[in-house]
Amino acid sequence: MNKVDLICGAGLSVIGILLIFIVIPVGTTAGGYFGLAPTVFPTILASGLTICALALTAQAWMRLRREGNIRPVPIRPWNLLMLAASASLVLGGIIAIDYLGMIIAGPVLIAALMLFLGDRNVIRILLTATLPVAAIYVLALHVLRTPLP
Amino acid sequence: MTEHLATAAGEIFTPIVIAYIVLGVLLGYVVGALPGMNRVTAIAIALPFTFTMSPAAAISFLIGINKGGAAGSAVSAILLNIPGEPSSVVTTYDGYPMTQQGKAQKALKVAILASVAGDVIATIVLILLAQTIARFAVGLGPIELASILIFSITFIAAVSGASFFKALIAGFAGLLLSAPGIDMETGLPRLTFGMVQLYDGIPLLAVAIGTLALSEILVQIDEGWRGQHQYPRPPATSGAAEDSRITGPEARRIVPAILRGSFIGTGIGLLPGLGATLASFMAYTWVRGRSKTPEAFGKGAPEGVAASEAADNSTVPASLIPVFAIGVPGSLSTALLMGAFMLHGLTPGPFLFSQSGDVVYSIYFGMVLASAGLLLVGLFGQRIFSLIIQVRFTVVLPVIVFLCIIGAYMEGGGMFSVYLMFIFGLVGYFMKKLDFSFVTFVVGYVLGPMMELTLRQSLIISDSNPAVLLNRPIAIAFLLLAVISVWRFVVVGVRSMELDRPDIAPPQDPRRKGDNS
Repeated sequence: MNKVDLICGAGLSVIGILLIFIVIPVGTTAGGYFGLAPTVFPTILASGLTICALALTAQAWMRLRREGNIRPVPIRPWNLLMLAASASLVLGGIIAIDYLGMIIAGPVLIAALMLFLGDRNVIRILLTATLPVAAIYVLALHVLRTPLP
Repeated sequence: MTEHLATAAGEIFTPIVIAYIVLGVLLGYVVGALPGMNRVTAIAIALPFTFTMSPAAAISFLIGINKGGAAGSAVSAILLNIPGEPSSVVTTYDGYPMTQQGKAQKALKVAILASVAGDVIATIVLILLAQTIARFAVGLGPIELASILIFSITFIAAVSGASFFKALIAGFAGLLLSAPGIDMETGLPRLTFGMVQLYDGIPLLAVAIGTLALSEILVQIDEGWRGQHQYPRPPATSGAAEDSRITGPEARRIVPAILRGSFIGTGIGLLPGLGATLASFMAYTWVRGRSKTPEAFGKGAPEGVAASEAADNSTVPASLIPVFAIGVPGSLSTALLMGAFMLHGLTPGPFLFSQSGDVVYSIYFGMVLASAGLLLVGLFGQRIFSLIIQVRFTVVLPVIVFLCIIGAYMEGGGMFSVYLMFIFGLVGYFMKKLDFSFVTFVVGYVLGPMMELTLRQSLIISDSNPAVLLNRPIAIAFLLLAVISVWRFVVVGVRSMELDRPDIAPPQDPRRKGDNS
C-alpha cells in the first residue's frame, strides 16, 4: 500500500498542478465581478488538493523508506482484469441503451451480466432480465410519467 | 405554528403518502438485509423516482429508506454473521451466537424493538433541537457560515478515513466538482469546455449513483467472483417458545441498554462524520461495562444486540439535526438527503423553518410514520427477510446496474448523465479500493456551491480585508477548531508512523471499515 500511496500522491500532485496552471485558466472566462474572480475558488481548491497530494506522497515515501512496501496492495492485476471486463459490459450496455433503447438493450444487459457472474439457469435469467425492465417501463411511463432512454 | 401543523398533517396523512413512506421503509429494510448492499446505495437509486412526489413525501420516503436500511442491516448480521453494513458489525457479536443457540427470532425481535426505540428517541430530540439551533443560526452571517463549512469539511476528513490526507484530497475533489457551471457572479460558463450539459453543474445523481452505487457493484463483482453466488442458510431455530419471545428478566436488562445506546447514538449522530459504526461500538462497550454479567457478552447477550441496534438507528434522525438547523450534512446518507432537498426546491439550513415551515412539519410527521412503519415491517416481515437474504447476487447485482442507468437518466441530463455516472462509477471503484473517503467527497460536492457563495459574500462584506475576522468571534472559533483538527490529525499521523510497524497489530478502529452510512 505504501508504494500505491506514493504513486497515488504523485499522480494526484500532477493532476493538481495541471488543474492550477492549465485546466482552470483555460476553462474559465473572465468577467465583471465584485467579490471573487471565477478562477479563484477552483484554484484555491486545486491548490489544497495539490498540497495534500504532496503531503501524501511525502508520507508514503517516508513509510516506504522506513518499512518497505509491507502493506497489502489493494488492487492486483486480477482485480484490474475483472474491473475491465465488468466495466466493459456495463459500458457496452449503456451504449446499447443509448442507440437501441431500454426495452431492447435493458434485458440484454441484465442477461449478459448474469452470464458473466456465472448464472446458467435459463429460466432465472429470462425472468430477471425481463421483469425489472417491464416494471420500470410501467412505473416510469404510466405512474411517474417521465421519459426513458 | 398551529396552521403549519394542520397543513403538514393534511399533506402527510393521505393514503398515497403513507404508502410511499411504508414502501420506503420496506425498500430500505430489504436493501439493508442484503449482505453487501447498503442504504446509501438504495437512497441514491431511489432519489430520481421521487421527482414526481411532493417535497415532503419525497424526503419522508427517502428517510424511510434510511431508517429501514439501518434496521434491516441487523438481519444478515444476526442470521448469517455477515453485517449488512459496517454499523452492524457489533450486532454480530451477540446476534449470531443467539442464532447458533436457536434463538434467531428472539434476536431479531430485540434488534427491531431497539431500532424503533432508538429511532423514536432521536426523532424526538431532532424535533426539539433543530428549530432551536436554527433560530440561533439565523443570526450567523456569511463569514460565520463559511468558517463553519470549513470546520465541517476538515473535521469530517479528520474522523472519517484511515488517512487524513486522503480524506482531505477527497474533500477538495468533491468541492472542485461543484465548480463547473455558470459562474454565479459573472454569468459566464466556467470549466464547462463547451458542453452545454454542464451549464447547470455536474448532475447530482450522476455523482451520487456513480460513486456510491455503481462503484459498489463493481467492487462486489470483483470480490464475489470466486464462485460464491449465494450465502449459506442460517442455522434453524430451536422451536421452543421461550427462545422466540423476550422474557421479563430479559426485558429489564434490555431497556437500559436501549436507552444508553440511544443516548450515545443521538450524541454521535449530531456530530458530523463520526457515523453509526462508532456509535454502535461505543454503545456496546458502555453497556457491557455497566453490565452485572459482562462475561455473557459475545456469547449471546440480548442487551448487546439492543445497545448496538439502538445506537445505529438513533444516528439516523440525529444526523439530520445539522442539516435542518445549519445546512451541513455529516454523513453520506444526509448528504444525499440534502441533495434531495435541493432537487425539490428546498434550501436546508437556518431559513428552512421560516421559508418552508409546513414542509418541515410534514417531514416530522413523515418521520414518525416511518418509525411506526419500521415496527410493523420489522415485526411482520421477519420470516420474509430471512428468505430475502438468500437471494443470489447474480440476480441482485445486474438489476441494480440497470437501475443505476435508469436513475442517472431520469434526472434530466439524458444519456450524458448516464455516461458521467459510469465515469464516476470507475472513480468510486478506485476510491474504495485505495481507501479515499466517500463522506468528504460527497459532502464536499454538496456543500461546494454554499461554500463559494459564503466566501464571495464574506469578501464583499469585508471589502477583501481579512481583519474583519477579528470582529467575528464565532468565525474565529470555528476556524481555530478547523486548524486544531488539521494539526491534531497531522501530528497523530506522523506519530502513527512510529507505531505503525508491521510486527505490531493495529488497534481495531471501526472507522477503518469504511462507514458509508
